[in-house]
Amino acid sequence: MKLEFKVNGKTYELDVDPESRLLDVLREELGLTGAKEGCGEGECGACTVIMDGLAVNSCLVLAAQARGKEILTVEGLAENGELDRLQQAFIDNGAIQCGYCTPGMLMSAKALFLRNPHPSETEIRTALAGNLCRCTGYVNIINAVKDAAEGAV
Amino acid sequence: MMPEFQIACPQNLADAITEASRLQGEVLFVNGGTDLILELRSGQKKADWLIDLSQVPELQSLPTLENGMLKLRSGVTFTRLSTDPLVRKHARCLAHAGEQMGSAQIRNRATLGGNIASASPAGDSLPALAALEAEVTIEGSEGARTLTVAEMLAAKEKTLKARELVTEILIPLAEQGIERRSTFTKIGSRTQVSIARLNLAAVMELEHGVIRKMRLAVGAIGKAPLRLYEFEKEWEGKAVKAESAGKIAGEIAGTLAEFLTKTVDQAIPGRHSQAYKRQAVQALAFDVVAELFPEQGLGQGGGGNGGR
Repeated sequence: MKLEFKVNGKTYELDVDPESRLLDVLREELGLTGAKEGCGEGECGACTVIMDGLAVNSCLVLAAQARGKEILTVEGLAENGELDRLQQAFIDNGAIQCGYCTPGMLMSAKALFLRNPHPSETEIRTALAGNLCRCTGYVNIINAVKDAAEGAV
Repeated sequence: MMPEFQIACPQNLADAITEASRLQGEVLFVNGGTDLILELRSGQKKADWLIDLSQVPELQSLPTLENGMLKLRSGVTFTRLSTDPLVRKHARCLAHAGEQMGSAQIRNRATLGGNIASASPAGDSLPALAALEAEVTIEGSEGARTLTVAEMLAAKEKTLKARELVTEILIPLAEQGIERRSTFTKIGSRTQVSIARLNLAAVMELEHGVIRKMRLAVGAIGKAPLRLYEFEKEWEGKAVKAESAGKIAGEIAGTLAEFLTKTVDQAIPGRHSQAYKRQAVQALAFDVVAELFPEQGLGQGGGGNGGR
């Protein structure tokens, strides 16, 4: 079936299988492998992308449901070769170890910033509650988002 | 990979209903898809056709007030429930259920209609809807019908027939001059994201310091949430004078805790979780009453997070 949507500012018109998920299309059709398939069940958040301004698990959205939508993935965060302040804050805070959860963490944090540029720590923790990290640890990740929120980067 | 199915993307509600009756084979509606997509992938559910409701405008429009009712469309997401000013004002327990369900990503997609249609025993919206005495409109090719949530919960068979969908949820407003307080709390294996092991919704209406209505529903201890009719009756008509409110609140919490333990014992006798739930449910009682009487400072600030 035909799917027309926008990803990282660019319009695409693709022919997709009805049973494809948004995650499948991003990774396999568009080669945007930032979003990861961790659990495939909406528990780990590694596949998080932003759809029309809201964080979603791309493993739980059918590709067809993204018709007409604007998707932002981690590949779209940096602009003109400049990292997003969240990405810089993750680097500065050592908030990355294996990196598997990082794109999802960044997109959940970015979605939070889109509606609340100066969130409290509680708000940050709530926004990231659906993103699991099994190696870096959450403290550095929360600190990175706090830094980015305070404009320290 | 998912088993094969086709997907129809209707532009409006009438088309969705027409498509549902026209298409051949097993036809399922999908909106947020946060449960259904997993069930299709695991083979728990099978479909020849999915009808996507996520862009049907009639189902996504914002909550409104109409004829003494708060009217919600079935496509309202849990994120919207938790932030919408009308829901927060008139159906606070439903807003609390909305903000405590799942993760931000799930709340952004999961819908109230889907939560009703799947009617999970641990679903967070149902106790809130039961306590609010909500009504649900179901539509199909044979027309629309409205059921109370109590009727839905009491029904032996699935109330939603094949190719029918939930379109609206109606919540009666408190009458003029009546103050409604309501809250929702839950316990899961962690404070966020996890499925409820127990959940409890409460609505209390006061008129000049007298309890006019008490409505409670407890979930995740059986197939469907249970209304606490006997307990409710005990407290209706009781005065809550400012000077004795703390004492009354304490009594309500104490009797509610006891009543809930009894309810758990009756609902799941011998179940492995009974020993835990009969105790844990008492914490919900105290949390909920603390929220209903915020001026009494009864909150421990530890357990439920209904007051956020």
